[in-house]
Amino acid sequence: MSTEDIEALKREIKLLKRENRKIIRDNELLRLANDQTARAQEFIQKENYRQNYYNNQILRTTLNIIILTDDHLNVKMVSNIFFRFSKHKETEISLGLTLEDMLKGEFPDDALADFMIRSRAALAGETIYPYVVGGSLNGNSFHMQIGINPMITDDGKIMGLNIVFVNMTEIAEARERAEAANKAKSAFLANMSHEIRTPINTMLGMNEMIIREAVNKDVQGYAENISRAGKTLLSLVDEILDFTKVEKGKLELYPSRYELGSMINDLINMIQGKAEEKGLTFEVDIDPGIPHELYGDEVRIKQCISNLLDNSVKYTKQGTVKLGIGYHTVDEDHISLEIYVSDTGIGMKQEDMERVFSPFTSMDEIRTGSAGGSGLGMSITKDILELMGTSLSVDSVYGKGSTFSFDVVQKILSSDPIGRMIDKFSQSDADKKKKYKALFSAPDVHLLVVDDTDTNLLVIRGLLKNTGVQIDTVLSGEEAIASVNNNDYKYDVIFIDHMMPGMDGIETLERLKRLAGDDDPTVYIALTANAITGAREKYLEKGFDDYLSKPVDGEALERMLMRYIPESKQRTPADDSPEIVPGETTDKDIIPRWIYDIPGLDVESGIKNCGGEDSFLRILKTFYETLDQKKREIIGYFFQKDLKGYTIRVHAMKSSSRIIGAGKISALSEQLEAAGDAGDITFIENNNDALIGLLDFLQGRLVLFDEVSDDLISIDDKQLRECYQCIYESSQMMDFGMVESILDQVKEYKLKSADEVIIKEVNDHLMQLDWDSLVELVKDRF
Amino acid sequence: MFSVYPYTCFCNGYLYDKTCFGRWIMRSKVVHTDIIDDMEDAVEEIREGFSDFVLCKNSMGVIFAEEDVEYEEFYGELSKYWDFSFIGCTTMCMISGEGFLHGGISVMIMTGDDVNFSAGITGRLTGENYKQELTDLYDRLSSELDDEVKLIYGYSDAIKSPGSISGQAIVNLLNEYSNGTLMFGGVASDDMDYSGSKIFFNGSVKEEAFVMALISGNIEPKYVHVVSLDDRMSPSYTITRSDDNVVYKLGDYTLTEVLEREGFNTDKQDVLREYLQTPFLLTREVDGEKITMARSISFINHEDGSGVFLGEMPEGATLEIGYMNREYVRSSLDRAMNYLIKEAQESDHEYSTTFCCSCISRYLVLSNQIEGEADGWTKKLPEGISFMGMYSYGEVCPVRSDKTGKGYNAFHNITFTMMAI
Repeated sequence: MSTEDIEALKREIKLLKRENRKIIRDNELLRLANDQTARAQEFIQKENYRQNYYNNQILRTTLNIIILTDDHLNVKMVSNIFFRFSKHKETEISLGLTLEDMLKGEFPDDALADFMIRSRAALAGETIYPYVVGGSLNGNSFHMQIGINPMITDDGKIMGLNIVFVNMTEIAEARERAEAANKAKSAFLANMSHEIRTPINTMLGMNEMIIREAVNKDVQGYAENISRAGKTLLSLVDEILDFTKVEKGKLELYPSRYELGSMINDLINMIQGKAEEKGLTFEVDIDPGIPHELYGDEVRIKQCISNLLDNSVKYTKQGTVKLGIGYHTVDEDHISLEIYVSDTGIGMKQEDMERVFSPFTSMDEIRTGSAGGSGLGMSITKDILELMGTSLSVDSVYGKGSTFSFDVVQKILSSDPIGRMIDKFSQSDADKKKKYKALFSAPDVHLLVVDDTDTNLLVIRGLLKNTGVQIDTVLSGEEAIASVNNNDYKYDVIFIDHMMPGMDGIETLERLKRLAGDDDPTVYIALTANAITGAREKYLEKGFDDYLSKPVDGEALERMLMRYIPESKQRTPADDSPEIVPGETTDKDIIPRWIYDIPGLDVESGIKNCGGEDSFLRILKTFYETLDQKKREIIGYFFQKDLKGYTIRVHAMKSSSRIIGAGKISALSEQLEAAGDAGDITFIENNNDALIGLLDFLQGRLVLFDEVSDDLISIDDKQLRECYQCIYESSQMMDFGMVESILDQVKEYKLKSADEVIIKEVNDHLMQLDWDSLVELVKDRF
Repeated sequence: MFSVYPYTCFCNGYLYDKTCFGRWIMRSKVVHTDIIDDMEDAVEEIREGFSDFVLCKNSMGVIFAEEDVEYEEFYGELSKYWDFSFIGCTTMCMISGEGFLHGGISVMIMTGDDVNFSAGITGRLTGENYKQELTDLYDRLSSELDDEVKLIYGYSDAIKSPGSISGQAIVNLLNEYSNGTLMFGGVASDDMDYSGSKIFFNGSVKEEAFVMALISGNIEPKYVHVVSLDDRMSPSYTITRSDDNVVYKLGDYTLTEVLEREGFNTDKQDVLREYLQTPFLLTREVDGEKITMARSISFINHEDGSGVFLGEMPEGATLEIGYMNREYVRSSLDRAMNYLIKEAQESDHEYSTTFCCSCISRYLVLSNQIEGEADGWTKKLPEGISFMGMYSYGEVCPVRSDKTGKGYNAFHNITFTMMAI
């Protein structure tokens, strides 16, 4: 072998060795790959085992019922908890059970049928959102949230359903409890609000007497402060009542015809004084082209604007509060009122603006950092506006002022423009600053003013205070007719507001004229906020003798009266002539004058119903003394939802209120009684508050009965013991008339407060014919 | 940005011919030969490949060769034509801009007028001398450069026995000694019997030593590392007792107890290959930031239940067992390439040279798909960019922290690293 051969052989051996090594390497790599694969396989198996273990753990311990089915809705797997409640055994699943068979008897039939429809829909690819099923099975109530989810393979096929039942029973029950607690809270709030209204009304009624009769200016000032504070308190309570209505979803709109000018006038009357008291300039900016006769919920719009104005006055220390009303046409029949209230007050920070509308967030808290007010006013305003399909906007610069605005669509009933309110307003404002002296006095003249707004009535009464004219005021056309019918005197002049709910001014006029016949000496004057040119002619055409626009100018009013009152009844006012105080008892009446002044109480009608003034006074007083109890019973039955009890109580109220001449209360009670008989709970829920409100109001006015007793002579002990003995003996014989007669006599005397309580209880027992309690009460008192 | 070399480049928005501002900026070229039995022919093929490559003032070469190459003979032939330094190491297989290479010899030459190179090799590293050897070499090489060292580029041969100096120890030392100068490189590999790996410096071939080049001048290294595993097979264990790269206790368990708990067979002692597909994930805190890196285990000590890892295993760090998912491994390279291209494109610097270092476990996982993978991502390589990489038993590349993105030099396993300069 040559050297070259040997070299070649060496190279060959080297190459072979390399190849061999690479084969070994590749083999080693293959071994490793195999080992790794085996290990991966082991790992996957282990993972699978672990996963199965975890799955079983979930299925065994989960508190939810989980059901897995195949694409034919055969049950493949179920969590263990299901078997705790089910009649089925676990083994049945492996033997094959359809979803429907498995759940039959576990659910109410209708719920199961619905569930199966949804399951089949889910299997067909429809998305089924989780839903809650509630019901009762085997006497147990339940709530279940059910989620039906398709199990989808990688290639998008639905291989079955994954159904989860979550037991919501406890949560649902907790929610129900919370809702019940909330309802109870609302009921409590409403109830308490009524309870609070009563003493406030009493306080305001008494205070009104002080204002009228106090001669000391300081005392009058104090009383006026009480009045303001009381009214604020009352408005807070009203806000709470409104809020409870919002919470209960009972806040509703009652649209009706209204005169925009009248509403603006009311608002001006309401806010102007408050602004002036704080030294603020109050401005109005009313577009004279706004149609004056509209259809909408005047009361609620007025409430919203009033809230905004109140807030602006409250939070403006100096400068101006301005009410602006413009409009734009929506279509032929509708306009959108553009209402704003601006002020130069303290304004709000940007971050506080959103909080303005949160309930119980007081504007005081936002504007000054301290709490004040109910914090509900703006929230209620927001809710009312939302109900009207609009919203409140706020534009505020901290430290500079705020503007609150909203638009509200209203139907046009008359396109006649409202005219220049501002001129009238400014004129009226300027005139008020002049030194006032009455132009005439006419104490023999009887005047009736018909207006649905208390404030307007008070304004006219105030304006004519020094003329001595006898003024009756009523809130509706119906009451006006009743007043004319029942009085034994003829009215010299009747002022009638044009726009009133129910019977409007024109209809009232027509009916009054029909009633009076041909030789009617009464002069009829229209009261209206319609300041447009040609209004006078329009009213004359309708039968009025003249027309007076609101806001009413005092001098114009007096001059108009001087024009129409017979000269024989007019006197020149003497400088030292005694002031005639409204509310003073007239010589011929045994019924105090203040009773005549109670709005909504038809005294003449009451006298007629009771058969005389004496009886009327006594029955009215009794009505007053038992009113608290009656009201409490009505409210109690209302909140207990005891329809029968409620109906009986309103039936009783219908009769007793009719007798005393409280026509509105009687009519509403009658409606509520009918609703009770018909099971119309919605009507009762919507109107019960109104009834209680009327009763509160009447109770507040009748509280003066308590005051009157101070003028009585004290009874001596011997006489009183004799009375108790007579009551005792008469009660044993159940002699109603005798006991009533004794009580009447006792009431002519002033009693010690302890005896006052006993006599009141005697009266209560008598009214309820509870003889046993009556005997028990007086047996040891003689 | 990546530039088209050798004939044009973009700089500040203008196209220049051959030079920027009259000077060559750094460029490089890679030439490969499959001839390993005739070094004269091999070098001839290599030289032919560089025939159109113009050298600048400063140059350096990098050689990756399979373990059968008679390196001294190869360098003897090579040195007849080029007198600058060559560093390199053995590797089981290579990557170039052309794709995956099963064997042979790859040579890269980097050259530039404004880049400086200085290279050298240590003696055999032991526990006693490695610090001295490494710092002496660093001092000598840095003194040969006029300006600041911007990159420590080097290869070690470090897993011959349980007593070998770990890659991590070398990285830690140089990182501290150079004050955090960026490092890139890897651990020499062979045909997986761990006896054929070597490192080269010019005519010198050594085992269990470190060959290093310091680069200064106009380079701005951009780097990326992608851990090639995502899946976890175990809960997280905290290392409660360790010494450098040896783990004794994880909680109350020894390392072998943990492995057995997780279903692994611990019969063997030499386990580097056994855990290539199921390596470990180490999460540690550096400067208050969490850094996660992969770790390979090489030996198990049955006497005390400890394990020797190819990198530092500090106490307090957490360890999880990972699982290399083939799809994740494949996509990780794509992610690395995309990231680096984006980084380079967003930079004003002109890039011409890219290195990579890929853990040999990737080869094992991807197996016969590795060629296809290389074909895929080499197409993304911007034209004219030279690219050379090796399959290693450990990778050296900075790690970005998860909070600030700051780079910390680190020694990795089971990782794919890339650097552009």
